[in-house]
Amino acid sequence: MLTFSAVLPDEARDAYQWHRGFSASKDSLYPRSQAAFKAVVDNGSAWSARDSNADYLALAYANFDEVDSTWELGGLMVATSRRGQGLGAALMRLALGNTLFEENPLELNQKIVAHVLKSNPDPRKIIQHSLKFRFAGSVTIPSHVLPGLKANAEGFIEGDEFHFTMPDSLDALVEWVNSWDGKLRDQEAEIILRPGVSLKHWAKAFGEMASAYS
Amino acid sequence: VITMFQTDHAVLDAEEFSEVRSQHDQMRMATLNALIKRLRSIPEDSKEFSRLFAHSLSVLEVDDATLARMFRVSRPTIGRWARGDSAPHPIGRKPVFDQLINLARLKLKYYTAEPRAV
Repeated sequence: MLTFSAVLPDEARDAYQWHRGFSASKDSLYPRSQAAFKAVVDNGSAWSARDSNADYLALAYANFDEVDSTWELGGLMVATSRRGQGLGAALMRLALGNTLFEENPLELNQKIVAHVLKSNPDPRKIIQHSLKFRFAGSVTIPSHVLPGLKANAEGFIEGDEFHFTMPDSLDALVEWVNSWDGKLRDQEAEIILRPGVSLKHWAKAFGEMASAYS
Repeated sequence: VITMFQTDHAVLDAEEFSEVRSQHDQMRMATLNALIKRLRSIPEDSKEFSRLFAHSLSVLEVDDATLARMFRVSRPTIGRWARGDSAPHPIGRKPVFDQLINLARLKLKYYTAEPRAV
């Protein structure tokens, strides 16, 4: 049984240990300190996929930048042994759906974006095809700002920015929510949302958002 | 034996203290009951949701970390809801208020349970 749920502050330490082990072997993932990772869990909305032993299989987050009034989806990590099983796409959809449902950013005209390193092809399929985010442009950041990430010869980290787009991204999410049958590629899976809230609530809310847009 | 209780304004004997406490409890119960009544109406307006949510935090004397755990959302989300910077989609508001009603009922039980420790 797989379990998808938000990472609670009490669980930040275990999630960090998994993040640290994972990021040590990947130069495409920013290796955060324990304090910074805890801040992501406390201040953002980190989501996890875990197996029946409660071992972490995947992590992702949605974080709000108050300065830019922008939500960022990112930090996607999927255990190497579980790649290609739909975990990453499910997790990113849940982080996105949770943001839309709990924070209502569309009503507030807040942007939702994702950044991917030029050298990292792994999450692009999920961001562009599963979430239907649209390529918005390239970004360059000095490597000292994000130490640990792979930089080019000039000392810059090169990446691409993708944007949530209406109605494509919302339609894709509604379709996924409506087709959810409690299984991920034939494996039983449970999604834990806020108490009293189910994917049916999400589907209805996203349907209303789509209607308001059209 | 006369037990004296120091309050903000005066020194009370046991009987007076009991009466003051009783009045305080009555007021708390009335406030909690009024909150439960208000939480039964679900505001469509986001700002009204936030006002009622912030009022609930105050009446229930609960901090954002506790609520974040209860609702399985982040602490900043609780803060944004209370400040009116964001609100859950209207479809997600009733479950928020249902949980707050449950919390208010738990607090009410404290005042109605007999006997109570001093």
